[in-house]
Amino acid sequence: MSTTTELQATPQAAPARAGFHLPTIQDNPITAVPFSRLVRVETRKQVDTLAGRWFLIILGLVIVVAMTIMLFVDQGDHSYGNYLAAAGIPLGIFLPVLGILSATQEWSQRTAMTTFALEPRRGRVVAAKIASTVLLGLGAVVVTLALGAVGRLLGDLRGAETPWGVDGWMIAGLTLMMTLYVLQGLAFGLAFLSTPAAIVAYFALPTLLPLMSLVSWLATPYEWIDLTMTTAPLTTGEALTGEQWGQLAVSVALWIGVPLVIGVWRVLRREVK
Amino acid sequence: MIQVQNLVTKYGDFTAVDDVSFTAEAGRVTGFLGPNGAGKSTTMRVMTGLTPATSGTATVLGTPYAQLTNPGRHVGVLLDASAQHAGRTGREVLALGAMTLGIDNRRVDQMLEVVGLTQKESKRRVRNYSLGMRQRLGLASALLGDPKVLILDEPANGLDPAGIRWMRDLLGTFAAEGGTVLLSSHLLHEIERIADDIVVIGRGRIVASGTKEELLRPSGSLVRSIDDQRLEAALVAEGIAVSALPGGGLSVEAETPRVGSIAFSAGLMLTELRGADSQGLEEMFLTLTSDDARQETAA
Repeated sequence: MSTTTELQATPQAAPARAGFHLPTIQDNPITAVPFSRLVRVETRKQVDTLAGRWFLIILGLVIVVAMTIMLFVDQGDHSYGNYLAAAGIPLGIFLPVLGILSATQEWSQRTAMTTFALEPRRGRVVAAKIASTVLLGLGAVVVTLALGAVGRLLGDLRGAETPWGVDGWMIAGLTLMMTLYVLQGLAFGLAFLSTPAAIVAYFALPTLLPLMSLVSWLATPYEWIDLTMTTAPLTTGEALTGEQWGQLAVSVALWIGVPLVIGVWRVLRREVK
Repeated sequence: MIQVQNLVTKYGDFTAVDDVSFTAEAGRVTGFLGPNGAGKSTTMRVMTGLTPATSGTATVLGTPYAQLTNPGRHVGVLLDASAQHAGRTGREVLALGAMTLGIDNRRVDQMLEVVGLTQKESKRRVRNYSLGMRQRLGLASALLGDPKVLILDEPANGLDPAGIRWMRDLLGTFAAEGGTVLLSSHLLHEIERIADDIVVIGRGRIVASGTKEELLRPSGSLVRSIDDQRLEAALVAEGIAVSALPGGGLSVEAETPRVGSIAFSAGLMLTELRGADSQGLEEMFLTLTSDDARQETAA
């Protein structure tokens, strides 16, 4: 530290108060914040709040209940895929809420003031949030695979006869679906920047969209824009047809791409108060 | 060092910050004063890159804030102690900061100790913190990266008397070790005690700035004569502002030699002539910002 020279340069400096010193940081040169560190911070921020923690605990309990029910239906005689669905469906429904909160808490709890003071390049923070949300989705897939295996093993102990039926397509499809769902949550959070609005929109959408199929001339467009419908083939364990890929792409562009673009634009421009 | 040059921030038709320029020097505590809505917080947010400037520049350590490498290692920022996630523990808030800055987690304990938060308190969630505790946490967060510059908006707000004194010592030490401190406050007596330089802002414009001594130095004089009315007329004729005091005598906006010479030329005998009383910061503040104040004061 060049404290002494600075003191000489500013002779009018206030006298130091005796007996009090601020500890300094030694041997740690100032370097730029690497992207990986931002991702770690954003990942931690998704689970370190009271709400985040309870959310995960309750989600865990829901999955345990779902698996228990599976074990009692038909003596637990189901394929691995069915167990995966039992664990994966609650995760797929609720985990995106953590993506929503990752975006909205910065504004509702006003932590954006700290976040963007420490990293003024907001685009990097948003990118870190996308990365951490994808990591969260992948983590959920791993948990699903593990819990599904535990469920099926317990089923085996009870004498299940259905084959496991492990299928590469199905696991790949599950991974893609989970990633898309959490990204949709984050995109909605970024677009609304308000927790209640984003959550309501996120959950209302799959409830309201099917109404389209009741109107004859909307039935065909509906097949192209309802993400719940277009992601369903992903977990059937079969390769998607060209048309199914097309439908998936259109619905992803509409419900993930568009809100993400709006959200990034809003975050980059919004004044932090 | 913080330099603000010709800073303008507009919201539509409304100009929140209007051509503001000032410098906060290293080694000194600069007090930033102004009534509510005068543009203090907006100026501070522009300085830290949280609000875009319409025109003009603000630099910290010679660089625009957003271009600093790892800004938290250079500048400690506390703009709103309440802007923390209520569901995080105080320790977690600091741990996240340390993680972003890339510094050792031991620093978290050090800073908790510096700001006087106990280990037990640090494990409580921020929602259970009093405003004073939030201010301490915010200050710990600002000091985390061992910065050279502190930008603090109303840091004394909510602190108890011991806390205010502690903060005064802390900021004094920080400046004495070569750091730059810019703090805004409504607690005028605190600013008067801690600040070396003062910048006063009213309705988005700088209305006064300088060292505390300069700003608080009395200006003008008090004079009594055998005929105050004639003296007033003589002074006004010279273009000097004069106001009659209720207890007799005149308050004159000119230094004593000038008043004396005018009285002498007018052939008036003075019974009393002295420099005006030293005005306190409060008086100066109210005088400078009276045009902009929200409610008229009785005086």
